[in-house]
Amino acid sequence: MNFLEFLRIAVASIMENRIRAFLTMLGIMIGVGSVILLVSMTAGFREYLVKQFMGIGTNLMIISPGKTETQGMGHPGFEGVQKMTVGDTEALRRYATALESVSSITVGTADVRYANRERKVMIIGADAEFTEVITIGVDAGRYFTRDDVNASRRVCTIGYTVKNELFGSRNPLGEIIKIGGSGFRVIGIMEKKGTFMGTDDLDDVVYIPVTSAMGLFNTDKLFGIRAKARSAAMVSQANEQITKILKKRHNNKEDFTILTQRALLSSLDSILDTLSSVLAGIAAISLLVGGIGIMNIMLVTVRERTKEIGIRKAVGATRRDILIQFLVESTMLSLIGGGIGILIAFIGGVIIGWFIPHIPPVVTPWAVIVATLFSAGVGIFFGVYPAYRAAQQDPITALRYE
Amino acid sequence: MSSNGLIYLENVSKVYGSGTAKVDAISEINLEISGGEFVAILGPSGSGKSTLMNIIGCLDRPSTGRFILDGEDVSYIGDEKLAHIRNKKIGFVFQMFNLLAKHNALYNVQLPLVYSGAGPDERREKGIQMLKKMGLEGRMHHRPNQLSGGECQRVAIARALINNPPILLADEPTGNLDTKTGDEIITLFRRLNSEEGVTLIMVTHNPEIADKARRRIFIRDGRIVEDISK
Repeated sequence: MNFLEFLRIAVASIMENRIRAFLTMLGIMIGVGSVILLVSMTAGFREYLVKQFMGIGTNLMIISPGKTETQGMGHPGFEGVQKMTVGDTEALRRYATALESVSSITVGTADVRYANRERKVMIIGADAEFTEVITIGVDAGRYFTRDDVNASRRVCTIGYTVKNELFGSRNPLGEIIKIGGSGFRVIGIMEKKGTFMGTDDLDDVVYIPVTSAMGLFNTDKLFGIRAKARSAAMVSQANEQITKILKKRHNNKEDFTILTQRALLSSLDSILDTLSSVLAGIAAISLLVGGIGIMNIMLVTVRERTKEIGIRKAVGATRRDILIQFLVESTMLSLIGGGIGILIAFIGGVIIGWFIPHIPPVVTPWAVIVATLFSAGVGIFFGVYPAYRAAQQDPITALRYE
Repeated sequence: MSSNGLIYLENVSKVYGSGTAKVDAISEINLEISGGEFVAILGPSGSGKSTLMNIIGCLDRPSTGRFILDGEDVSYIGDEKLAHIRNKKIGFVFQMFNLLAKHNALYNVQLPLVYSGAGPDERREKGIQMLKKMGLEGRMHHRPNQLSGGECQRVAIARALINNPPILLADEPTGNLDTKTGDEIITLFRRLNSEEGVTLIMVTHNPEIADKARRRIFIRDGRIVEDISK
């Protein structure tokens, strides 16, 4: 008996009980749909995060005081931690040949005032090299120079949000604003950066020379150092150089932490991988439930069609013929359910894309392939037992069944 | 005894159950039926005639003894082979017709061809031919519930004959029909037997119907008690 014939019988049987077939498929539909949708959403989220991370700059290295253990539950203690200073930045600039540019950074918040408007804003103290380290440019005016930094000049560049809030439509260039009570001249407006991770407004920031910032916050300690390696290939070399240079300056103690953009990305990746598998795993449970539904209905179908099985056997159907007939039917149910599930995932993806436009789900082909194979597998696996029961029917008893 | 006959049973017994619940459905049946015969098997219910029918029809196997069908010893062969023999050598006609309720007459007639591997075109052609032969050309696309009892039985006979089996087995073929329709079916049987040489074996408890056969075998308590040929 050729396979087409089995397909024909299965289609006829499914069409005979359309509503029941639909309800049976529902479990598989929901299962496949949610697995694909959840995997797609994490894939979309990953793409968004990578874009955000790459937007900060390339081959970025983040050097912070204090040693953060990457393994175990070590307490990130600050005992014996020497402060990080502008001297450290200078040393790196001079001796770390694998680095293209280096900038000190201090961070704080202060009230910023212009005329009668006031706003609490994040203040970033940086070097002139900061715009080389991270990807940020100036929209109008200029960024501060080495001279500005060396002379601790009270100049600043402001983010877009700050400009709008304090100046509205007026031109801020050349105006004096009060940061924590001291006057700073606005010399530039930073280009629009938008939000990071959807929350932090990267434009609600004022940049001032690091030297002025240390005076402002009355400290001689840096928040950290930001550096850019000459190339991706030189990141590890840069890492070694930084470690060597800073250890030498810090009494041979590794009391600082170097994070590379790539390391951050890869740890982010592994978190997302876990998240993705956990979500897919939860959704896969509904596939299992769907499979049990198919088995249940197939058992009912086999019982209902006992007489048919008897007739088919009497006219020459072998056990194998009957087995395949029912297996094809359960697999078809599951595959159609899976197909509709994939469709649901696509439509769901589009709808979610409307609601969260900056994180649209990305439907990956492998998720579709895996889901299809999985639903076929569910149909076969949960169809085997009912089909076996059908095949084992004794033709004499089956014929007598009413 | 020679084994030249189409059907040859030697000391065939069938036992159901075991131990104290053991039931001898038929015991030590010796029977030979040649090609072209028209045989009626008679007996009260519980006499074992259905068991004998099932064994001859390859739906069941003997517990002991030998059964040779068309020169082949089929006593203890496997299920798959038995299915093939049913497909090629036996045509069944049942009291309850046993048609597939969800399919039309044409599909029902084709069913044995589905399992002998014939293609759709060949099946259709043969099915139409066979239905015409049974005088059912106007009923091809009707489902069993749209057909009369006599029509259903003729569809069943068409199905039984579509693979040109040497043997036609009928189990109370008129049991569900009125006398007139029953007579028509028997007339059809006689014609198939005399004109086309189909070997006909018919189980019945109706002596009047059995009278139409040329040979009558009486069974009681699982044994042949009489074997009369006209």
